[in-house]
Amino acid sequence: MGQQADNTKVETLDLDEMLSSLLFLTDAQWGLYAFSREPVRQKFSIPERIRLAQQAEECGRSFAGELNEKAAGRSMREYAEQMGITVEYLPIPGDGAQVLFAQFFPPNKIRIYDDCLNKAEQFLPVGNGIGINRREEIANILLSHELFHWLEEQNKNGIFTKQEKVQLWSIGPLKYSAPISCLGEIAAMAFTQELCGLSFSPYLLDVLLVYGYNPAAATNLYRGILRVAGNIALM
Amino acid sequence: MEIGIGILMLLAYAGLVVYTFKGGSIQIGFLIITVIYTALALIGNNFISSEAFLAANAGSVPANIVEAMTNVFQKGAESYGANLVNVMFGAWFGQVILETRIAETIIRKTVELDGDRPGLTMILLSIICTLIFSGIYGAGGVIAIGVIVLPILTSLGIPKAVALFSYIASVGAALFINPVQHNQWVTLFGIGDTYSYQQFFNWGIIALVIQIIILSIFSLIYLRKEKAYAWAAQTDVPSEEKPGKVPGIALLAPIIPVFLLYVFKIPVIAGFLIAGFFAMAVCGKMKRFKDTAYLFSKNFHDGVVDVAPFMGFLLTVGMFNAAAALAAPYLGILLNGVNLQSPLLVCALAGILAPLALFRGPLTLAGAGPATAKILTTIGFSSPFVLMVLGTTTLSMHISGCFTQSWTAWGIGYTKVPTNDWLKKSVPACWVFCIAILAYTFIVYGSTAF
Repeated sequence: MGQQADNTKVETLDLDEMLSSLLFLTDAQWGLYAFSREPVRQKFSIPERIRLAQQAEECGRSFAGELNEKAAGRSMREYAEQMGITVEYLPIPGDGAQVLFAQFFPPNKIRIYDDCLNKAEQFLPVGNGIGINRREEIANILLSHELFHWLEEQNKNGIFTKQEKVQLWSIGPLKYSAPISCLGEIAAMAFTQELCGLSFSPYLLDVLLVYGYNPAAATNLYRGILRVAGNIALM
Repeated sequence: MEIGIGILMLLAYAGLVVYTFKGGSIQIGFLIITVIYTALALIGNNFISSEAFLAANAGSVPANIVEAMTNVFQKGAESYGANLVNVMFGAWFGQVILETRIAETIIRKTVELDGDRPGLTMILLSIICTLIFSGIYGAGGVIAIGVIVLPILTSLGIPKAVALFSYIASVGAALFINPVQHNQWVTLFGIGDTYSYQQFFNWGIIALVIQIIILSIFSLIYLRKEKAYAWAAQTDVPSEEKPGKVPGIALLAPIIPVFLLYVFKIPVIAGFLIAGFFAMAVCGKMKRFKDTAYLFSKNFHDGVVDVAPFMGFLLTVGMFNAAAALAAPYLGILLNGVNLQSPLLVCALAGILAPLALFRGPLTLAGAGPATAKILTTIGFSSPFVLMVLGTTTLSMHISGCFTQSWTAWGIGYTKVPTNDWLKKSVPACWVFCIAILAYTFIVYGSTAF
């Protein structure tokens, strides 16, 4: 039975220690973490999840390469604004069971939530293992991620993340397939990593940004990521 | 002088409404108004009322304090005993449906029917949750299923407020045919022998369908405006554990009590036991007698703990009902001049004023509404008709749209939807639910109003 985590009983780990440890996770392991959120994940074996995650990452990186050429040295914010995308920075509390960092509202509005940035800046250890020290750097990562979703919408008739489907059911000759929603997230992370020149998966921000709200919840999340990543041993 | 007592009683009712609107404990609120009604009735009966008045109301005017306290606090609370037993077994059954992973499996299978289409998935999950909650009862079940449903909906890009409203309103719709809900209300109105579950179901099933259709329309409108991609982290990572061996036939378990009661008139507790043990047996939870006994006992304990605060409230409602019977002659005098003898007017007023069911106000039977119900029945409306009218505002406005409902308060905390966002999403839709269902109630059942 799905249960809400009781974070009051979780021992809190040091943030830098957790981030440093997550730096060692491979793309495949982050892919498994992304699939743990996929509503139809039961349809895929572990090797299938890893294969699809790799394809989504390639898709994300390829779009990052194209965008780098088009942006030609402009910041992501400048590029987004030139493309007619409105970028808003809003404060929003996010200390529930889901912490919201950023959103893209089709067709052209991106919202970055300041609250998580403020908290991250406050808690991020100086000289941390991931090499991020300023809120602007985190905001840029969030913006890049949402920018991929804008590109996804622009290219929805051809992009891998929208075209790759899984057959959910069939009745005789009637078959129904649907896209796999987590592939867009995996591709957006690979896109962001490439575009921002990060040495780590942006998924790592899940732990960093949750920590600002609730260190025990971040510890619980960190342990969950390691547990899911451990499934790679099942291959 | 009886009018003076009646006015004081009406003021006490207004005080209860204000108190509940301000977020006061409704359990204490009902206890206080019970004491006030009882004291005023005793004062009236012993010192103020005329011989003619007392003679005209001979059946409901106890003269001494012991008799009044016996009727109100002892017999009033005891009158809810049978109802509480139903609530307890409903809560046990809910725990069984969760423990056997039947609810989780139903939800996962529903999502796998549709995959990535958020609107359709949301509507299908609303229908499925309505079916599940038509049989089970208790906040624990709503929370336990909510932690499965809500992350699924939000992971599909559905805004949290829309996802939460869709879920909570589907629970509200389910109660239109829930046997435990029926039992509570017939106890409240004292019509357990004359208003059968079949009659309740025949009215409620159409109300349920109306609510789900309107909910689906509103959900799609909200989604059209607000579909978003979101980067959000959940603070827990779902287990990779398979849903477990839940055979297809087990998925019927949540609706078995309703089916048995409606079709074969099998009493609801027997229905809960049959369905609960059926679920445990087909899901492999009855392999050893010792384990079965432990599970039965554990689920009963967990279920009863889950509904304990609610049972406390019901007991004070039982006392209030008895006190309201003492107060009825005095309120009746005041209401003699009220020309509200039109079912159309009552339905129209309930529809227009439906938001008064929010914040435990006078139009919800889970708030100050039992007092309103007494006033309406005192005027002369039939109890089943008042049950349908106030039942609609209770389920479609209060239960579906108000965060003073325990599981809605939990949902708002879980998703961190700002309360003003919640009200913006819930109130317009709930108002339309109420108006549509009250229109249907008037058209089909208006002739039974007296």
